[in-house]
Amino acid sequence: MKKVLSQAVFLSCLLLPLFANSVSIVVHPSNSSALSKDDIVRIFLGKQSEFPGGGAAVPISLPESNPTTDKFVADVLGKSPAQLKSYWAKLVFTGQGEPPEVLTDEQAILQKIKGNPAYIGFVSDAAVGDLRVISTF
Amino acid sequence: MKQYNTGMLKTGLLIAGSFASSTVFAEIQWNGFASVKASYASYDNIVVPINQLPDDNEFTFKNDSVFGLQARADLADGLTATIQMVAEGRNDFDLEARWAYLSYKLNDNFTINAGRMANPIFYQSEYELVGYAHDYGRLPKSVYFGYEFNVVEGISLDTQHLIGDFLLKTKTLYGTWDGDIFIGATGSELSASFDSLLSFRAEVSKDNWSLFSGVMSLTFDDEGGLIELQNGVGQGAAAAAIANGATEAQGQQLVNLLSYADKDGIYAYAGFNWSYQDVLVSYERTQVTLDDTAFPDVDGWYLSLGYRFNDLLLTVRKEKLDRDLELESFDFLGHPILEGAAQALHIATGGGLIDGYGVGMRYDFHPNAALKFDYFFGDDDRPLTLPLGEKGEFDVVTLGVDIVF
Repeated sequence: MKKVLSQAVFLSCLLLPLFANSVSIVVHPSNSSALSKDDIVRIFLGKQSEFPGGGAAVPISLPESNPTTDKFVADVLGKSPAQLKSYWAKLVFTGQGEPPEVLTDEQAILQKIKGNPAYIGFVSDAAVGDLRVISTF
Repeated sequence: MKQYNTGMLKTGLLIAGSFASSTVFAEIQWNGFASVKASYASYDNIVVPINQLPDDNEFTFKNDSVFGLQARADLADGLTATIQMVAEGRNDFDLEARWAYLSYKLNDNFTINAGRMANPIFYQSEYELVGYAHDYGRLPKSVYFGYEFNVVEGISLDTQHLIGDFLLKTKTLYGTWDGDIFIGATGSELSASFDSLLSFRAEVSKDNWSLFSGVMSLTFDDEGGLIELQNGVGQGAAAAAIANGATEAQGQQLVNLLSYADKDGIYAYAGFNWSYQDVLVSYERTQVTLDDTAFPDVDGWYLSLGYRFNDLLLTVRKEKLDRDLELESFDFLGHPILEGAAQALHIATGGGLIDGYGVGMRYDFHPNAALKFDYFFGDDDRPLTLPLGEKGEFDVVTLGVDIVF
């Protein structure tokens, strides 16, 4: 029994990173705005361009292929990747909006936000660094 | 179809090329879309029920295939230039500058556009060629009729306001248009133009629903193939009536009635989209009215129900295109030949009478591509072209791929 339990714990530890990785919404440490999930969704869908506390809000994104992006799109935006792409296609081809700028990796996201308080991004929980975490999903 | 095969193409490429080579001045963003689709249509007792459908017994890869490339140059400080080049299969893939306009973003709430741009006559008409952007293999034809004046030359103001949790977007446009209009009675197109065109659209949305409505007023020019045809029909019928006892004044009344020259028209539409978990519902209704003409009021609508199974979306829809015939409204002409001519035009114009159903599928099999299927079938009961007591029937099948890049 003890052996089975230890194997289960070992397997759980192996699988934990696959399932437990959460998405953190991060902003510049000087940004004190309180953002609801609705605010975050609207900012990343181009419907809201300012933080609730004032100041421009510019969303930036990880690449589509990044697992953190998948989780953000599904759990925060509530869409499938195809639904999100279809949504942006409507705006792009009607001249009404552009999707968030896509950066290469989480380090690039962190650096960009550190350099300008207007940016808001999402990274995996482990990569937050010294940025302010708005929410974790 | 208005083509810009050489002049506009060269101008577009020149503009795009100059932007591309002048990265000091502008950053260019390229986006593209394409649809490659096979279509087959079969009709009984009718020619072509609605504009832009394949001919009878025609299997074609051209009718519903399209390629588009959009370049957007950011000229800084809110100024952008956009050109969208489109090659449609139904036009032999001749390249056309569908859009070419400048935008100036005053702030986050207001943007002014000027040039050749989309005229939102229906909810999805601005991106109706971008198949990937909507859920249908073929947009419901009873509403998305394929009017060419969904692209005009003019100036527009876009607004966007977040009011509490509600997003309000509006578009106000003033412009002119010249091109071709589909004649439902003959299945062919004739040239026409609008002296002025004013449209307004508003959309309110929140999370999983949106409500929208729009209206467009237009005034016909007094030239073009459509006006000439109407004048010819009117003068011919007037002459026949005058030879049979009608007065010159009565004959002129018919000529004036049949012609669209300088006449006003109204397009109006409204509808909603709503989704709950994997269920999607869409409804849209449009109405067309041309004042002081023999053209009947036209009413089109569709109701669509969809269900999403992960990457697979299945839809069914009911759609209808109807006309409000008022044959007695021509009694004022006061002569049977004149009244008969007006009544004949009244019945023949306004397109077919569609009473149809659609079954559709969208499968997102690739991050940038969707496989689409659509089967559209139903009756087209247009009185003048059908044998007495018979109905027209149509079946249209489309299968293909929509992509964006």
